[in-house]
Amino acid sequence: MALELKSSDNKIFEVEELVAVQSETIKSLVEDGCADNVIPLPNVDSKTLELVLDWCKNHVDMKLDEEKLKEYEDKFIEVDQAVLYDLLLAANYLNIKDLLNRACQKVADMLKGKTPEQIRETLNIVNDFSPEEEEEIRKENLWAFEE
Amino acid sequence: MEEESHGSNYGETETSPSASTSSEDSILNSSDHSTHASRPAERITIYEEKAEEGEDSDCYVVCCKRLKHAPPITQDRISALPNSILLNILSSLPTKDAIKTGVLSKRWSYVWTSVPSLSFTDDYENTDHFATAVDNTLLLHKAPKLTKFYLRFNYKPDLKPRLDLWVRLATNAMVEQLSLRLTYAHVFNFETYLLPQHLYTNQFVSELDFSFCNIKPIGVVHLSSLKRLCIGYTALCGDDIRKVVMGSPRLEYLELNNCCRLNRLDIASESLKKLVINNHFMLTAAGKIDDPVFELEIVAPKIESLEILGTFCMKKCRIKDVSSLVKAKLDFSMAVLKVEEESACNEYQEAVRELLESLHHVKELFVGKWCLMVLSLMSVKHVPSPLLKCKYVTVKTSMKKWDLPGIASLLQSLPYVEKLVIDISHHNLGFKILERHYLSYYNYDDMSHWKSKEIYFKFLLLCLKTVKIFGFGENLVNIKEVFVLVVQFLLKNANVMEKMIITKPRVMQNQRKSGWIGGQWTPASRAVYNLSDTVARCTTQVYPR
Repeated sequence: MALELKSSDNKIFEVEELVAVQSETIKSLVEDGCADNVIPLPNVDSKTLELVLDWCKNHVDMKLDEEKLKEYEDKFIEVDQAVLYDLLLAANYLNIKDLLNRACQKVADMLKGKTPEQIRETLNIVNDFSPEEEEEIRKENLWAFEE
Repeated sequence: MEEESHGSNYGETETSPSASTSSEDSILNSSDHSTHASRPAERITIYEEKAEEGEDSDCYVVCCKRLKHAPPITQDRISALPNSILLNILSSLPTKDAIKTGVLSKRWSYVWTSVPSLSFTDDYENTDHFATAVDNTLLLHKAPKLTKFYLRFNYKPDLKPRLDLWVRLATNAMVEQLSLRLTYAHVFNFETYLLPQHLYTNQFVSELDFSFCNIKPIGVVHLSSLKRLCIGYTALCGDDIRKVVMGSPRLEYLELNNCCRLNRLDIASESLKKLVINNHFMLTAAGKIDDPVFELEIVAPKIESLEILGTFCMKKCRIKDVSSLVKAKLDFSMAVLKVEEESACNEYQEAVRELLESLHHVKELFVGKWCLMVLSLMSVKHVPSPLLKCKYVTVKTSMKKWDLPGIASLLQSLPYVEKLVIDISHHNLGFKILERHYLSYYNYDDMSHWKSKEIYFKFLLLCLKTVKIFGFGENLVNIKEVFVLVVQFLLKNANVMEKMIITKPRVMQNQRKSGWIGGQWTPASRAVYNLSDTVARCTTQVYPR
């Protein structure tokens, strides 16, 4: 049984139901009987949707092989930062728990062991604290900012 | 209709007759971009060959580069994400790193205080400093529910009241995963942490992980949600373990690592599926030891998977009842002290023989290096090794000359084997005592020993369909003789073998694309096939039929 999904830039993707219902969002639509026509996904562009569907498909195919799946996931998540955020948002919107967790873990890996200055640099975060405000927060958790 | 062709690993979009696909994605592109229209087809099919069981893991589609790249971002996209996603990200971080995000910007301040996962690690000896840090953090932290609470630090008995409070705080927050990985700076001068009694009747915890803790349940044990239990570095008492296991109706996984003193593990649990014992030893007080080896008796009639790993010092596993066992992994070594070499080797032989006998009914077996070497010893000493019903066998070996009799012995005992996996990747483990013993006592020609055995087990390889050898390429020079001997033997005598896969270790594989070599083999060409030519390529798949 095939479903049709439409990305934000009007591309239609035809996928097996088994693959698509990895998304809890789509699953509920199917269960409620709303999936007969094309399902619009205004929050996901075609590039991201293609990636997401690849994830879902491989999770169906490799369900029984943990090792293979892990290898796939590690390779899959090697994406540029912008793509990673798109994946995060898509996984959140489509409610695909394992993809969301894996993507979040990848972002966490980018933050691990870095100083706040380094994190701001990597993620383009603007520091809107005054030096006094920042100092106050640092003092509350001195141990975390050591070394 | 224009479309883009996707660069999957097998390149082509034509379906070959044998590649049956149960799920096909078709993409209808109504794109406006003009691309190279290489094919007139309207639909594009992304497919992958359905991987058969045991086939090399290279055959899956990983999305092509085009989708994964994007220009570097210049704006702050992460701060725009909703709190729920930020908290998910912070959950994967050690708490120390999570707290640091509090000074990134105003948007980030105090987001970390709602993170449902707390993890404190301190490898230094200044435990008071650590304890204050934990206390301060817990004061600011305000998540009402915890999924994970992880502590690793050097425990000192005067920290007990604080640790009790932290555990209480975690359980009040209905924590699901609780890890107390205590460590000791001074191993011989310690008092372990006595786990608080309220833990044994906790309804929310699903995963417990303890090191250097004392498990002594006094009243009733009722851990209604516990699924995984890992106990490390503890002197175990069989009764206490039994009490905990029987009081956990949902327990699926039990691991005992680096423990000691356990004599009998009696688990009649209906739910327990997997048991792992990693490193076990016998701690004796000073004085005479009558027996060089003590037993750890295992009674677990319902488990499906058993792993015996690591080093067993003055202890051996004795299996009394594992009637439901499907999968067994024997990747351990034994050490018997204060006994002369010949005696020790006899003990090892006896232990391995007994184990294999009690595991003869399992479907899937993994034999580690040390066990294989003991099998070699048994083989040259003409000690019979029990017949095994296994269908899937994995062997870890360095393919040295002292492994050959062991491999021969194994092949002889596996009349029903359908799939054989040989792992020859380089491991640093060497068992010098066994090697020395083997070389000094039985240093005769292994090749002729093998050849003499060939007649006996030639006809036993009636079911072997698949052989996979991985890790090839690292020690080619050293192992060439043995390797060629074994592979040639398999190719010649496994009459129903459908394929043999030889691959490089995973790390090396990722460096370039692997090539496939398929083809039909006549019985004649099989025998004269030049292996050293083939294995020069990354991945070789040989179809012997």
